[in-house]
Amino acid sequence: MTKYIVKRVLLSLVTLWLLVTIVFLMSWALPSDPARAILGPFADEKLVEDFRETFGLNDGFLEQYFRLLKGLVTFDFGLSYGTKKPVWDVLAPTLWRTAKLATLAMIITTPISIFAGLVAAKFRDRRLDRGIVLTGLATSSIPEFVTGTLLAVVFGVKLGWFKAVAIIPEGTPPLEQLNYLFLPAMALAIVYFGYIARMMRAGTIQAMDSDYTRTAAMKGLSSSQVMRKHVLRNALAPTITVMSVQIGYLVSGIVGVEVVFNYPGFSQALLIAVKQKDLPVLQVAVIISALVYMVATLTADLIIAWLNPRIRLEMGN
Amino acid sequence: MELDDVNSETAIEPAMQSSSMMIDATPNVLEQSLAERKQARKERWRLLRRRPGFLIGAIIVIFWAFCAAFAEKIVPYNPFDDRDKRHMPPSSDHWFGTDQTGRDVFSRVLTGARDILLVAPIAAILAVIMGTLLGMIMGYFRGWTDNILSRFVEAFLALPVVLVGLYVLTLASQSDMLQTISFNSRNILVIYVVAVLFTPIVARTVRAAVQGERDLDYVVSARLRGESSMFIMTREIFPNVTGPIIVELTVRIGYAIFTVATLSFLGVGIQPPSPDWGLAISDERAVLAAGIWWPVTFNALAIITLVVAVNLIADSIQAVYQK
Amino acid sequence: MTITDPTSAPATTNALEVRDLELAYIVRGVQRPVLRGVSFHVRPGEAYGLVGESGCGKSTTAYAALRYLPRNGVITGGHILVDGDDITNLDRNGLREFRKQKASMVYQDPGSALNPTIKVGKQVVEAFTVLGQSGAQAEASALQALRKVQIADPERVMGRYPHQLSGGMLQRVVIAMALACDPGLLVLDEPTTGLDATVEAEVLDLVRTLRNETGAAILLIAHNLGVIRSMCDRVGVMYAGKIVEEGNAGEVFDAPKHPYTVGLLRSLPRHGMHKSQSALSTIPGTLPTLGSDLPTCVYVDRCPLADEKCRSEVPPVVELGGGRYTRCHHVDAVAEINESVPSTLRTSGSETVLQITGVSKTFRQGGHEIPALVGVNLSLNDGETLGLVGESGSGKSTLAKALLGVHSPDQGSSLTLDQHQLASTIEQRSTDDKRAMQIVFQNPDSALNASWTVRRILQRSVRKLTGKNSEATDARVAELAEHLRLSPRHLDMKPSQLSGGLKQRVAIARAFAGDPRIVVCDEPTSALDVSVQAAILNLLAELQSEQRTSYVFISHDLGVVRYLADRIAVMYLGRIMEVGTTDDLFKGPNHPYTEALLSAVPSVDGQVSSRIRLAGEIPSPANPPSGCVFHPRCHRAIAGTCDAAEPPVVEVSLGHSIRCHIPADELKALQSQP
Repeated sequence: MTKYIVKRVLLSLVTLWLLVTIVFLMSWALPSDPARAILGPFADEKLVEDFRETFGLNDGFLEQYFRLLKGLVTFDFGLSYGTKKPVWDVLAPTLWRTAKLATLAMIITTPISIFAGLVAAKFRDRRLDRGIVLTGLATSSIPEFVTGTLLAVVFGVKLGWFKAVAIIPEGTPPLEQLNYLFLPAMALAIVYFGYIARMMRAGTIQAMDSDYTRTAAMKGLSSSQVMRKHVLRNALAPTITVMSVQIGYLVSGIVGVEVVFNYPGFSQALLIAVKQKDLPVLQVAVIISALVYMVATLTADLIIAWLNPRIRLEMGN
Repeated sequence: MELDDVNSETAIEPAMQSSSMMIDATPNVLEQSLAERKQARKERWRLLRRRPGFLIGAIIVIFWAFCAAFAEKIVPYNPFDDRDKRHMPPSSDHWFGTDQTGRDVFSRVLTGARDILLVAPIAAILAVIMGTLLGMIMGYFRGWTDNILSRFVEAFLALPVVLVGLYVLTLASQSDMLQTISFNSRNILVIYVVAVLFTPIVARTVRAAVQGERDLDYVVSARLRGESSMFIMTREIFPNVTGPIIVELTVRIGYAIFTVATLSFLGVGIQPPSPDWGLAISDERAVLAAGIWWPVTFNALAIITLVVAVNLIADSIQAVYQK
Repeated sequence: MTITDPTSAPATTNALEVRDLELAYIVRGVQRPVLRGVSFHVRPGEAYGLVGESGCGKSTTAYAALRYLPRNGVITGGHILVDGDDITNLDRNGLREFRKQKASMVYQDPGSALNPTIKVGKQVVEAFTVLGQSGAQAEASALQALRKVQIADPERVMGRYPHQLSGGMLQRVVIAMALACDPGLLVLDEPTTGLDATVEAEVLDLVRTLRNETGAAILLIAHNLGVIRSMCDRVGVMYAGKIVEEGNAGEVFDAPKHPYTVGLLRSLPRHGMHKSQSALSTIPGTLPTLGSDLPTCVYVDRCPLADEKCRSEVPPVVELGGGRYTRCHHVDAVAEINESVPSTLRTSGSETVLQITGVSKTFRQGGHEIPALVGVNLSLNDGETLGLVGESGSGKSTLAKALLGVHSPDQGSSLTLDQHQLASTIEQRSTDDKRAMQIVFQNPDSALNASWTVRRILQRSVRKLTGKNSEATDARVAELAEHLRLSPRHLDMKPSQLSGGLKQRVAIARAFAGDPRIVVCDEPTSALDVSVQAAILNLLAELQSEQRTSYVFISHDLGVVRYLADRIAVMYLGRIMEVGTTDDLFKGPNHPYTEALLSAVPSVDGQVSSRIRLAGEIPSPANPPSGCVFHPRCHRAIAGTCDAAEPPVVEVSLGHSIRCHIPADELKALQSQP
């Protein structure tokens, strides 16, 4: 197992390096003059030159590339064009607010979708199953910002049950914060419900149709024992993979939701960066969210390896 | 792994294994009888038409495609004309009300599919073409080729589509190369970004399908009569992986609509004055709190019908191909 | 083994009684009958066998006996009684109790019958806790149960996961679980299909022993008639969801009274039959499709005796005494069904076509070297069939692929075809060399491109291998089709529209497209039913005789090899242990490994041979034993000799060599003892 972990982590590092390189190359593939773009066509040449000097734009290709790579270790990604503050300082406080929202969404959606998937599998091809599958298909195909908008219209504006604007005033007690966070978290949860429930259903059905489940039933185990002891564990592996991938996509989807609810997460920083043409912030945001995806899938792979004795025992040798 | 053939001898008597009841019970055995199916394709089409999900989805998609092409000529108002009557609630004059510049929401919603129904499918088709090429090469050649390409695919997979969209489209908007961003070239840029980011996902699916085929004996047989790798890939293996590719295409179209709508909502996708739905929601959401719900709601419902319809079709096609 | 005389069985309640069972699968809302009134009983302590070809409903019957139906299966009539209790309509709890207490099952594929993520021990323990035993008690019972199925170190096995155990070992574990409740009825569904003959023999021995110990009644499902004969007291022959003949196993197999049973038995090469003596009988036509309407005799469409009466009237159950019956209008005529036709085949020539010397193949995996072939020497004459036998992992298929150039053999290997050196990989060989050597694979589904028509498959091979123009190609395709008895209608179909036998004919036609000198047949009939197998074997023999083609024929079925091969090579761990003419090999003296292989085959002819048990399992080729690679499993190994030095290759008689330390005379003396 140790050898498997080491191998898997090393591979992830290679992927990370490639990814950073790709992102870096994008800015060279679409050559631009940020100084001119930001300062405008009539800015003084001296001012433009100063700008270039401050942000290291006069440095060569390799110099800039290595600075970015170094940043991955030191978290020093240089300065933001817009705020002139270190990029990391711009992003860090927003990141943890985003993480809070994402966690809440996962906490809401995971148990419900896993349960729904199990129920659907158990009542396969009956009306309940069809209903769950169809609901999942519909909810997972609608973009998060649309779901979020409708939730805001109905529960925020029309019914007024929850806050439609998720700007939490300073010093709000944690439980009351839920009032603000609930709708955006639901918008995310609804989308992920479909993915997780459908995968759980498929995994459960596969396990239920397997020969070993037949063996267990033939031993005289009750159907709940069969489910608990033989089906669940084997059904979980594909679901974990899907969840890890979804955590990666959550990063994308959360941007739309945060904008809908004016939540001060990292999408706020991003939208400001887009307006200010603040490329360093955008670049680092891309890299950090890719990193989140990679950590999530890596963790999922390790959990699956641990669940599967074939990988756990043999990959190490 | 290279020991395949040593182990292959353990797989004695597959047909006998298939005599087990569970397999007997599947409709496949029946379907192989000549009377019941002449052509797999016809059969699939027949099965598809019998699925209500497919029919409903197809009707909705055809409706929106029709609107995209002709709505501008039949809607009550010119969707681009500003009027004085701003933010009028729905009425018999303006079924869906008017928006912040007094444009008729009904007319805009009906014409709103125009750009997205062009941009998203083209992006998906491009992604499927590139992904298929890449996936076939990875699946067929294996070894180092596959290892190296797989790293790239993994790296691209980790890139969040929306964020990269924001980054690249911002980058491009100030690039000298694309200094004069006209309406159409912006759409083309969106197509490229979505297509490139979807390519590795397609490649991964196709790679898996090709790997499943490439170990089959008919490939060995082709080698034994001296076929080239190119022939084996394109003529022998490709026709056998079209199923997963078609499924992937429909699924990708759904995701592309999803993604393009999000990018437009964030202001980096389809640009004004297009009546695009995502754009409209972005423009009008600020007045929600003031109780002006109609511009946002009708556009949101339009997006929902389209994406759900496309996904219903994708789901039906997947179900039919997996039989 | 004890054969209980069915007539003297005490008049107690039957362990299993199936009465007029009708079962259907619901396919797209339509009921398709699968079992059409199956009736039989198994007495306590008796072993009853159900035989028949795939799709006849025997496995469905086996599962139905324990009320396990597929999701779309429904019982439409009849009753199932186990130990006198009607279980046909048991509710969920009743069914659970029944399965817990009264009956157990052993499955076809032990690898998938156990949960891959749970340790074997825990799964065996579970079979006891479900009976109400406490943890510690169940643990002890599990160890005991594993010992009972002759697992030498149960503690170690309990700590393993299923993927770490061999197929034979897993089947023992499954049997141990099945016996946990001391069931009155044990249902075995193809328990040894997919296992090597040597392992199969051990598992069957074990079942026999356990049956004597526990007195459980046995319902055994197998397609292998030899297995049924060696295991069962009584047998039912199934066809299209009906038992067409039933009786004492020996009597049914020695003097069949139903045309189907006759056809089935005649399709098998029996009594040491060889292709030079007679062709095999075949059953014309194919099995009716699942759920088709068969109002009168189910076999009428394929029966040589069928007449108007058979088409219009349901055949009577003809009692033949001693509990034997058959369902046929023409019982008296059954014996007159034509015996097989004498063979008119040419014998093999004396010109050497292929000579291979010192062929080795080493795979590399994770830095380890795995020798899959070690110094193989063989020759092949024109029109000759060389049979290649050995257990799984013995290197048969690797050798075939090395010959064909799919794998390039190691440096120093030499392959000569018609006196010229062959390049090591297929890509380096000339078109003539490519067309000279072709292959017929085991599984035609994998061997034929599913999206091509048969015509395109054949055309492409002809054109590529012969370079003919399109007109000549079409002519050649027509010629091939005629030879292989494929109709023009078949040519325009895709493989998925053809039956298994037809697909294999297409594969053979493709191999013969360029008039090959040598065709490698890699288990070409093992995926087919026996009646189809017979037709394919006849066809192969005819083609060979006409075209002087040589075959390298790989098979695990010694009966088939004996019928078709002129010479046989026995492989073990990548080495040839013995090679000789078919007669020499079956007469002996033999290498101890060959001896064990030969004794492992359950014979449908009912000859009782003393079984030789091979100790342990086939070692990993990555880590071959010292000295003679076979010595750890050899029943005749000489300590200090066999484990120390590689044995010499001794020529026992002209063309018959054995790789063994024991002198041939001594082997002969040892092996002639009973």
